[in-house]
Amino acid sequence: MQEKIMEILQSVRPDIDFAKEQALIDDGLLESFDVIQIMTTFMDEFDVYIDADDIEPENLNSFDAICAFLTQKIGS
Amino acid sequence: MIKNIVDYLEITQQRFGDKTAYLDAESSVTFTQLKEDARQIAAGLLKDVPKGAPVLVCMEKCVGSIEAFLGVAYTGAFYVPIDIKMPYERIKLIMDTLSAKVLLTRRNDEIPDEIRQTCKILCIEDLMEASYENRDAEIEKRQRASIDADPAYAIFTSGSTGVPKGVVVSHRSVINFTEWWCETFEFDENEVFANQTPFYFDASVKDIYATLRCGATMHIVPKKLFSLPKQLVHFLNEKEITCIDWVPSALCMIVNFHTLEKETPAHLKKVMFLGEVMPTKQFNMWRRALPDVKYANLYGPTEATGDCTYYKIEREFADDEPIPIGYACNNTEVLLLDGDRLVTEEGETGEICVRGCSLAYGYFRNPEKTQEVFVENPLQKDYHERIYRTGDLAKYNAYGELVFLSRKDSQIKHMGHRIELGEIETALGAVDGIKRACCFYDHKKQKIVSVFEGDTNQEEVIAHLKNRLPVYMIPNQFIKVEEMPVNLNGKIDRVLLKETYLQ
Repeated sequence: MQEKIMEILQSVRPDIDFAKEQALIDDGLLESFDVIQIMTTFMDEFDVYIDADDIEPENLNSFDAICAFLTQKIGS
Repeated sequence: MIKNIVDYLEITQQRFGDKTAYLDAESSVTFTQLKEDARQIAAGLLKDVPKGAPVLVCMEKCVGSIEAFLGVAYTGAFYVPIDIKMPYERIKLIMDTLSAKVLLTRRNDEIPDEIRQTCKILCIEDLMEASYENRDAEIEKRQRASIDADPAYAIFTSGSTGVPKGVVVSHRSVINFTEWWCETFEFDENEVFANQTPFYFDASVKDIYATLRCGATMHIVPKKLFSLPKQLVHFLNEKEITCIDWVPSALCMIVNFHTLEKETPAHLKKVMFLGEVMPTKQFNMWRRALPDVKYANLYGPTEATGDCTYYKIEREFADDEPIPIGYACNNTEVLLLDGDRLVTEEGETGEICVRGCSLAYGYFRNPEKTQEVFVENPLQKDYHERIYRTGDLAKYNAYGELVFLSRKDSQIKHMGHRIELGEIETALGAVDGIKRACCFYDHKKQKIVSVFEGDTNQEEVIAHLKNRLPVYMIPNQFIKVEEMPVNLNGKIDRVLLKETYLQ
């Protein structure tokens, strides 16, 4: 699943080193447009429901945080 | 009579001096303090900046930026807002075009050494702390010499040949627009704006000068909130925001993730969108959640100052029905032209051309590009009149409203930004190892796709582009091909490339 997540992130923003960045939201690296694209693709790809409560820095600031968030979503 | 944007400040300060004008996450300023700070900045600029000269303003978006803009305006010079995160090479292109002598910044903002060597760097904090002899008298001298035809600002937009174009806009155009904007949408001192658009994007001119004209209040929304819908709506409530004028992607993010089902912005009365096409489905979601809010769709290129058409949305629209861009703004006429012929029939396609005092002067030190798009009005044979050809195609619907259709060239709108694909192609062409490259836009997936031929890889190409282009211009997808397909003329076969990709 991690590979798929990375593939989705890079398909939206190939200029960002997702393996390294730890403050994707707090440093303003991801814009609203990117967040929409990434989250919409996650919903389609992993068949999960994501709403505003989920879109918080702790779930999106790093690749590890995103993986943990999606793992929890899929399991719930 | 208003002839300079600082006249708004002078008048409003007398009426609402103690009222808060602008706020960012760290600071705020009243109209009285704003006038004092702007005059201090002006005084510090006078000896280095003659009337009519460009002054770069390069700092993180903040209250100080607005103080800097107005300080420049007091001197009779014009300001050029620069994105501080823009790659140095692009800033250098703009500086070379302008030959600007002075750059305004703040102490804590980092300006690259290369820029420090090419012009005088002044920090607004230093200028505000200094004392000046005959400050107000010297400023009055400059103001007496200023006329409404003087340039107020120049905003740089993407240029198809790889060099950004500086659109020069007069005080008269800004004032004409601001008067119309405030009257049409009934702004007064009770209005509270939440500014989204960057200051190097001309849409921000609207929030800034409507606030100044009406004695309203403008909050600069922290950028990261536009990636956090719940916090963004909470911000609107916390700051009691009454009006937003945002790009559609910010509005879509809120409804796409069902934010308005959890919290509604209770003070919001006016919602406008601009910069790109608002998807009607998402608009309807807004209207269902907030039925009492007034909505408007706004359209206009930087070359026509703010907006040149507007549409107050009062009737219902199906999810697959485009929202019109409506009717021309005050003192502006929109001519729909097919070549030199005026289009008047419903459904017929024409190019949106604009006439009136909202027109910019053209592009700074770029007569060729200026002459390409600021042309003689073909419908006026008796005397010389300029119109601006936008390159946007539109039609009239059954209601006589203008409806945007598409671009007629390779300019795109991506994430609310206006981008010439040619500028990206020029940057790609400069990458070591790339023989040929081209770009196209996948409208369905909203992605910039680049195709290149040569001895390099995606990582190297991205590393190079990051030094030349703003982040929003870096392609979302890179395709390396063995050999670029060409047509009978030996040119890259863009149609074939795009078709192949889309399949």
